[in-house]
Amino acid sequence: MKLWLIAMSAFFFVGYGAFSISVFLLSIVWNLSFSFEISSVGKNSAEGDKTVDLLKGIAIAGNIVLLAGFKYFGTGAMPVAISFYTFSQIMFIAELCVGISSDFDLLDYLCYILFFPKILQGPIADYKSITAGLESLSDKKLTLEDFAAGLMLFSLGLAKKVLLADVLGGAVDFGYGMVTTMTALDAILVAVSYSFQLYFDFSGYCDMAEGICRMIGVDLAHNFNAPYTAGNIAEFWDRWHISLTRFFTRYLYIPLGGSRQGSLRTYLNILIVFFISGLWHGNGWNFVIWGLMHGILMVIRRLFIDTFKHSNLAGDSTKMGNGGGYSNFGQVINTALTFIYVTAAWVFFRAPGVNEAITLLGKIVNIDAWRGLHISVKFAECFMMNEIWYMFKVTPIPSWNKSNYICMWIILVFSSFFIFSGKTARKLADKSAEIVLGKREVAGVKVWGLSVFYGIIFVWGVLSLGGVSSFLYVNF
Amino acid sequence: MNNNNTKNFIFRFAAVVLVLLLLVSALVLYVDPFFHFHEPLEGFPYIVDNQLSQNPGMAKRMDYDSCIIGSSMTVNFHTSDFMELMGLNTLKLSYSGAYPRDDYNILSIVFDKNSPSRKKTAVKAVFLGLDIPTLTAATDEIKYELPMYLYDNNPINDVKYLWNKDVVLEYILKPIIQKKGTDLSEVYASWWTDDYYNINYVMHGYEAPEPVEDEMDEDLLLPQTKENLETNILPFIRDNPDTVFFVFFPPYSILYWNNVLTENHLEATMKQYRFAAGELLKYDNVRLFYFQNMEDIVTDLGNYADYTHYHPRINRYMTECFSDGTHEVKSIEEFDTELEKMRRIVEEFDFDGLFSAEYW
Repeated sequence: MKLWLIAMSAFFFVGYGAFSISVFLLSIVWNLSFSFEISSVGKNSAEGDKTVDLLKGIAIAGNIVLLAGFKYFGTGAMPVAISFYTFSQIMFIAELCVGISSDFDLLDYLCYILFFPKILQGPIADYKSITAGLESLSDKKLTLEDFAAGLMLFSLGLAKKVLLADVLGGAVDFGYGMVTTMTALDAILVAVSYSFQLYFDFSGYCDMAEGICRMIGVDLAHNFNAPYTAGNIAEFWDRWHISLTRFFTRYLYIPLGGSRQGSLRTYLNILIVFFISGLWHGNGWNFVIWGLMHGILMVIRRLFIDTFKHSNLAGDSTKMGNGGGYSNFGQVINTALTFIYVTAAWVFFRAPGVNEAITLLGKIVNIDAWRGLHISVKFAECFMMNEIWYMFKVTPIPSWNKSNYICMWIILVFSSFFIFSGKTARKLADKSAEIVLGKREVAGVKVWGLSVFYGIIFVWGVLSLGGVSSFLYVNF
Repeated sequence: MNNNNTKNFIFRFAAVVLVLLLLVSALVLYVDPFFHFHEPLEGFPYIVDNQLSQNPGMAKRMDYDSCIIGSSMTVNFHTSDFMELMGLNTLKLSYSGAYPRDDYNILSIVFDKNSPSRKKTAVKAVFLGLDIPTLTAATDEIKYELPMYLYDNNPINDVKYLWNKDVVLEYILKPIIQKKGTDLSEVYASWWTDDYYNINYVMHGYEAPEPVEDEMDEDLLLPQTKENLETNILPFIRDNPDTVFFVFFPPYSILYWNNVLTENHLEATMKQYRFAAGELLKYDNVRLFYFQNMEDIVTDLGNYADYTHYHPRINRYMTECFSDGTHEVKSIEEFDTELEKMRRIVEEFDFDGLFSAEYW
């Protein structure tokens, strides 16, 4: 089974070309060499600790040099998935040194690093969780229940990617091409559309990866949990790209001292983590600003909690991500403010440069730009899905010149509902699976109806793949 | 656990997927809007607007005895003019921004002896617009990535065509609803209306290149030009002696020559033209046309929508020239005379006056 998985994963990666394969092989050879050496020294040497530390330092430094070399000093294309597998390699080496994976063997390592569902965009899973999942495969049979649930999750993930993210992406690309001429409303919609696009794109990929894993009986760590419902910035990072947050917490924040060395040092550590996170995401000041925007708000929040920890104002400070103590209305306000701040930060993440990001945000805060409120027709046209256009043609919508706007609002409102209601693809797939298994009954929903629904979603997604863009996070 | 329900779900899911994919495949196979599998259906209002996807199928399946090859300089030809003036059933196979390799790719299909088109009709003539600046590109450089599933003979990757939402919605359902297909005589015509062909619009959009101080070596462009001609163009001329190749240098506006002057490679460019002409004139089945020194046309920016793209009436005029031999060059000596005329136009043109005038 492991050999089959390795072969299948390698075959999957071959499609990305000789350059990406070569760099990946170099990374594998480098880390394997050090892993065997660390494993051997750790077992045999009496004074192994120092040698192990030295080997660990060199191995991790090599990984960072490889990643930074391509990301900041390379002149050509980035090797596919280098950011993700480099972090996985660092995680593996670190775990090996503390003995978590000291009994590793070659097949397990290759399964872990190559595992095709997660290789392109994560999650950055730890060695034990992947190998434990694969180990249990040999003990248990593949079940129809797992397969069906995986199929549903995969179909929903595919739909999120090709039916929502790519449509929003077209509008976002257009929007960022007209930054200087856009109206205030255009600017808001472009920024919000990108927040939605990034979520549907990245989480859609993760849903597909998780779906495939579930089909073959492997549990892949959740990477998203309705992040835009977060009531504060800490909770947002508990819900967004969860494996990256865990990686930075475990391998950067805690080694820096975490919160153990006083408030000032804690604030500094938080800023360092988000500064590095910005650099990891891209080469440019806009990524640094994006990271620091998150870091600064985290520090402000922490400062607020530290200052008012004995009053109700701070909410429940024992739970980082919890806005406890707030009313429902307060929670709505918190969620809205968090979303607005995160969306503003995404503007720096997406814009081609800092100036464009400032220009776009300037449009929103500039009173003059609010005169003659309107949304550009060309921008609205980007939302016109052919499927909806055909529906319009057979319905008596009287004003055809408004159909672009109607289409735009349909997509944005549907996306908002999906995002802010907290309904994730995983929850929907789980509910559907429970209905199929007879564990839950929902009036009017039958098993055959679910089969048709998921079948149509799947085929619709497959047909839409023809002209879709590549996954956004492939380049990170 | 309700194992039967799960089995039912998976079975029905698979059935829905299978039936839908089969239906879609059958629909695409039947209509075949990219002409990949068969000739056009009689009476179906095909929309033809995608050069990358539809040219290979048209070249392979359609009924024609001559074709137009080249960049956007060729998109405004009307094939009905070729029928009217030369009695040719011409097919337009332009690629906007084409590099020589793009010409090679489509000519390979045009001259494929096993294609249905070639089994029906021989190619009597090819009208090839040669953009001299592109002859310095790498011999394998193409303008846009090609949808290879439409260019190769691999049936497996045809699923990208069969299972494609755009194909179904844009090229099958839309023409059915609109009931109006593309007029192949005008296919790929540029979107500029007559209003855009004026000096104000051209000058407003024109950006002169950065001036270059050192003059380019006169011979610098020749090796790559030779390689491109040898690799991508001349083999078709040599291998098809019964086909007449009408090769022409499109009439760019005087602003193109301003670029040449500003970038300081007039002599190198002149030598490149002369070299290409010399290579082409070696073949009896080549008829070479030099349109660039039509002074009244190239110096009047009212004939252009930007610094190179001319009005469709110029295309009509060039078709008339193909028919009656005006502007044809039959020897390298004649070509030298044409180049001298071109040089004189460039030298005498009042660029200062052009750039100092006010435009709205």
